[in-house]
Amino acid sequence: MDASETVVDIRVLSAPNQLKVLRQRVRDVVASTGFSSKEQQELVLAVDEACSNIIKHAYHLESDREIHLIILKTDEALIFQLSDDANQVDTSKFKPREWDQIRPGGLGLHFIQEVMDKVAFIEAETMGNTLEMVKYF
Amino acid sequence: MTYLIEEKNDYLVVYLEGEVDLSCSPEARRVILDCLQKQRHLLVDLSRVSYIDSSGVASLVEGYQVSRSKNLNFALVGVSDNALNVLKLARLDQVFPIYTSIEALLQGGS
Repeated sequence: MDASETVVDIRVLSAPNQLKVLRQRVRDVVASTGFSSKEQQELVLAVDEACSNIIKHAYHLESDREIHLIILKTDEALIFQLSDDANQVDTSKFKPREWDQIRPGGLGLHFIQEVMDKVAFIEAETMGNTLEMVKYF
Repeated sequence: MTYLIEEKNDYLVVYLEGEVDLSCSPEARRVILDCLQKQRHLLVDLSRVSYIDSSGVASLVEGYQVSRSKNLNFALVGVSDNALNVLKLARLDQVFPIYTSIEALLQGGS
């Protein structure tokens, strides 16, 4: 991978009302790229969904924990790294909803996978989880 | 997010406004289900929704399912471009009845 520049490095509390703050930071970053307005909106949605998943599934709605968002920019992509300090989650349990099922829930992962070009958990040595999402220009 | 509820003919209309995310989707869900609990046909106006996430969409899906189980009408009206993009991403734009406006629905249009 080519050299990367850190364009965002922000830590927020794991409270749902902090999602707005994170979304705005992502909006600011993607607005300065060549992505279309629809793609920009989708990128904001995907990062927001990943944060919501941390709040719901890693922190179980505890609102005093920390979410760490780093956005790296390279010549070819934006890389979003989202970390928590929760117990390591069993990522094999994360299954997006089947498309033919009309039911509430399970949509967030689909949004992330539809929008991003690469989605992967980076294995941590001890505590915490890091999700890396890549969107190529 | 803010909301407003209005009676229009046989319908209750819920106007949602602002950003519907994890911080307020439980309230959106409660408002929608409360209306259906009153055995009223329901329209949800999304024309002033600037952002909606999967939890907001889930509230709409639940409302749609509850309305069907109660033989009540449920439709979305005036869906903003941003909200429509999210519904399309969820492939739900072909599932929900969607009308351009309340007037179009009441006059039997699309």
